[in-house]
Amino acid sequence: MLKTQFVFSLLCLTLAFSAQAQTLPFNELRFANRAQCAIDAEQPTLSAFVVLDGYNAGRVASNLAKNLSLEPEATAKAAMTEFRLSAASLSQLILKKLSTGQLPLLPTNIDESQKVSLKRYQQIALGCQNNVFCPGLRAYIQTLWTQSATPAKDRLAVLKPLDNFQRTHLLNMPASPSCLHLKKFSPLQAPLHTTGVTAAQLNAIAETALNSSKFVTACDSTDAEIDPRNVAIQLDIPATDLKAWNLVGYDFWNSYKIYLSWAWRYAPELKNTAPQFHSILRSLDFEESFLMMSNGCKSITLPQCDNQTLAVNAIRELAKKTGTLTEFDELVPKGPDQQIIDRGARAVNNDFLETLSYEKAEQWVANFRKNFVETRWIMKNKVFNANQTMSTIAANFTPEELTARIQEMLLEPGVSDQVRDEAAYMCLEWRLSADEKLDFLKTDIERVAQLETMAEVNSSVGLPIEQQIGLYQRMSAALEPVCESLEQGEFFRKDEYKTNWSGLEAWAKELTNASLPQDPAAMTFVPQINDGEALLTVGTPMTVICANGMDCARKIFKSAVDLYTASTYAEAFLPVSSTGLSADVFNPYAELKACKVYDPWFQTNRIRKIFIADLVNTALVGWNPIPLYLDVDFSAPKVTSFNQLLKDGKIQFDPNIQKSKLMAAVIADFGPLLGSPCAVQLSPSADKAFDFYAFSGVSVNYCNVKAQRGGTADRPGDVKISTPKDSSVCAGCTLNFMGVSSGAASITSASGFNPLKFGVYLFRAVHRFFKGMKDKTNIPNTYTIRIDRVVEAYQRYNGQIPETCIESLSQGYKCYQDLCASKLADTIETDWKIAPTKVTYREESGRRGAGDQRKIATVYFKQCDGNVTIPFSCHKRTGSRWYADLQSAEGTASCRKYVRGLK
Amino acid sequence: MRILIAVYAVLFILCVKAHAFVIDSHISISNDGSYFQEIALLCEQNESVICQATCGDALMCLEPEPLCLNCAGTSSDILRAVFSKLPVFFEASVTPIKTNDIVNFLSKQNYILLSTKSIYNFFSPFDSEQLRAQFQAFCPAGSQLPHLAAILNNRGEPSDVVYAFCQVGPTETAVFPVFSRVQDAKKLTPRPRIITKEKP
Repeated sequence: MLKTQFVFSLLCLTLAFSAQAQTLPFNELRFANRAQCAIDAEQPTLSAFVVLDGYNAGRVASNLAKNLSLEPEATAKAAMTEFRLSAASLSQLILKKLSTGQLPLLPTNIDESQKVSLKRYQQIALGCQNNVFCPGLRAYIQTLWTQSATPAKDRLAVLKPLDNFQRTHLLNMPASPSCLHLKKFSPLQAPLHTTGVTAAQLNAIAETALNSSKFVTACDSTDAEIDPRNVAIQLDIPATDLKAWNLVGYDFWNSYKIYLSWAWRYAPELKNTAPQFHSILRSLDFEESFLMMSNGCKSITLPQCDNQTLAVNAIRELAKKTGTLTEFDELVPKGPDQQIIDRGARAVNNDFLETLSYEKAEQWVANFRKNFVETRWIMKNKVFNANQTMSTIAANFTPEELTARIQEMLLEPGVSDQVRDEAAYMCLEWRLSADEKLDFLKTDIERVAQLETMAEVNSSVGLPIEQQIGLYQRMSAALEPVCESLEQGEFFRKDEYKTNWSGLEAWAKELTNASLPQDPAAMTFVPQINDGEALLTVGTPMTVICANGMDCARKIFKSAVDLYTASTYAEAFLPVSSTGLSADVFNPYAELKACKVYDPWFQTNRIRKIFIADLVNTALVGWNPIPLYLDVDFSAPKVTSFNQLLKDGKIQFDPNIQKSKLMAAVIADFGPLLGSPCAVQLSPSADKAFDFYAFSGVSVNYCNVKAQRGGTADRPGDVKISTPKDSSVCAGCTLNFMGVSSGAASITSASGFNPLKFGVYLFRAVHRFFKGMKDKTNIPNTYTIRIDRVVEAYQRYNGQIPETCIESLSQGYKCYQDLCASKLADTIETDWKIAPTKVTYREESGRRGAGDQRKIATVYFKQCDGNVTIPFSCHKRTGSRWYADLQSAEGTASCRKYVRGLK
Repeated sequence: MRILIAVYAVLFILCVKAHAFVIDSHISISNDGSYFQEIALLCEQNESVICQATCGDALMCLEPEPLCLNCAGTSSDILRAVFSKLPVFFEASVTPIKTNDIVNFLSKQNYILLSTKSIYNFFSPFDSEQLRAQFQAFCPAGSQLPHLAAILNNRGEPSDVVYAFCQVGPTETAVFPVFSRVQDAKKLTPRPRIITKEKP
């Protein structure tokens, strides 16, 4: 009997954990590839970044200093520091209160259609449109905050009369959430930078953890070196029961944001952290200074295929270096839905937001905040200026009056070319923005009036948004006959007149850039002022609103386009929510998965389907002498466009999906059969790759492809990709099958059945399956690393974690000799609260059947001289088929007193 | 010429119906050393009713300004309008209000006072010449720069600018209603004032 004994030895734990590493408050690091990242997006994150912008605090303090003749810069810095410390401390306080059940969880989804156990909360929040500062909701939260001081044993009894609070609303986490100020992005955020785990990365993680003070510090640190203007904070939640966390995680983050926004204005605790400026800082536009981002692939709020998710997540483009053109630079945006189709699949977790390219985290924050704040300012200006223009014009003229003035101007004898140009601009801008037949933008603009978000930003000054859109509609209707008459008449066909399009509004130029001659050198167009007096001016000192009737009409159209542009990304830039913004900045697959643009399971399912097809091929043709078989593949489903649905004032996107398609090719594989190393493939589609041999080798291939493909578009943004009408003929030869095919040929000639060919086909099927499943990008794959265990291995192996540790460490275990030893050590430590120093094992004698993984382990401890033997089961390579029978463990006398219940 | 202008200004001020009180909003320092915005109201004997109704004292009221939600930032369109487009959005009436209206406003409304030196100015340079000129246009010539009273809605956000408090003498203030130029199409209408001060 073959007797194989696997004996693994383990180095003793000679180095103790450093105190620093043991107390590192980071969660496990979870590495995920693209497919896993897409899957993870639908789970609540355990780690998040908070980005704080001290500008508002600094500006208000600077104004204060000027009132009191103080030094503005020093006062601003002091206020920014108090702002940073207060935001961090309040965050810590709220996270602690939530994790220990002092504050109850508040449900995220309170729609009337939802069954919400907190009926009173639902009623109040809906009545307040979720605004934390509405008196009803403010009072409700005030009560919860006050009751958070109640002793734990009485809390539920106190809360129950307020609403239907249950034990499930009060968490009881084993440890406190951590709050760290990031000095520099580092391997402690490695899952943002890489999808796999190598020994070098593990060493880097350990080294960073051992020198963590260079990279992180307590978020409420008063270190004067910390820049209070641009701040990055990492919050980690120590949830150990992931299943339970996944049920409450989104509510947890939702509650954190609600309590934080409330506490900033009303909690007495702010006095402690902002002793000088608390009264002033309560008036801060806190939500403007605060932004949350998930640290990794998981999310803070559940991604949906709606404008909320897509617009907010689009801000990740602003994390790229200043100067990078983004969709927000477009004057007439295509919209976030079209953007995700255009971008499609992209890399993830490769530091695509360049966090490591900055010496300090504050520099990355500064770049991001600069881009974000500038874009936000532009968007707010668009809304404000549109309001100013529309409201002022409406207060002075009706669209019909303006049209009458326009007609007067155009009917005057001897109309100048300047006036003709202006009329041409006006009519083209009317066509582009308001013409019903063309409908470039009309439907989109009119929908702005129905959006809940735009109702939220409705200004206290000027006309409501719906009246502004109403003005645009009336102006459009009044102008239609004028423009149609001008276009059809002789007005623009005067001899030698040629429109100079350089004075067209920039948004209209953007839309017509390819079709209209532009003259970049032309002078800036100045609208004609009749009789030396502009048509509409206001105030003292005087502000010109519009020079003449055409100018007014054009400004109304521009304002309407600006409103549409701002509404497209309203959730990201306009003050539509009373709580802070949170985005899946580091995971573009959050919205790609939610909108079905990327299916993380497609590749896995595809490989399985191909495997089945290969097995069928093997069964059908693998044994016979016919050299033909069917090779199959499946194209990925493809989102070609989105239908936009307006539901309850919110835009939702419904993807139009081109389904996954079977692509088959007939292959004549002459290699195994005839001794020829060649094959021929006939495919009705050139999408089918010529890949008939499963083995790589020296090959010569020839393909002739006839392609007829393209797309059609019924309207902008709605491109339909037609089915490829192409075909290919491919032929190829390879050296790999030379030996195999010779053997196959001889056997075939003798019996008519070719077992070698059958074996080759079967091998090919299995090989293709496993090769496919090793796709590092599209087959979901994840690793979890505990930093303390990486540090322990690093120290034990004198600063060089060996390759053999990777498997164990990347599954969250300590490094023992192999994965099975590591799993057993982990079980022992968890159950017996005593860490082994060494684990060896051998196969259990007499059990050598296929698939039998039973083993006997010998385990050594520092606390006793002898050892303990434990039967267990484990697949050596994968660690699967796991079972440890601790009940049957036997130990030597010296060990029995340390391990309770040991035989 | 200057003397003539000054004489005209004094005559104009004398014609304006002023009240014997002054109001001011300024930064104060509390006993614990923290800064806060404070509204100071000083009344003369003959108009002690204003102070009396506001805080119970005949001559002086000192009250912290209420929390102005999100005012230290760029989200408030009212503040943006005041500090960047004041003459476009607002104008003052030439007729001042009466004592009763003043009493009603000061004692019942939740409001803040905005000046060219306001800490909530995030939209134009602090106390700039241009801003001073725009504010000055809300008061008679010769008076001091006004304080514009913005009422707060039930969430604490500025929702309207309603009065300009113009100090026309050492202890005299005239209060002018402020109207929106753009609220209603082709007409100016006084804005509704429905927000009342919340009990502390």
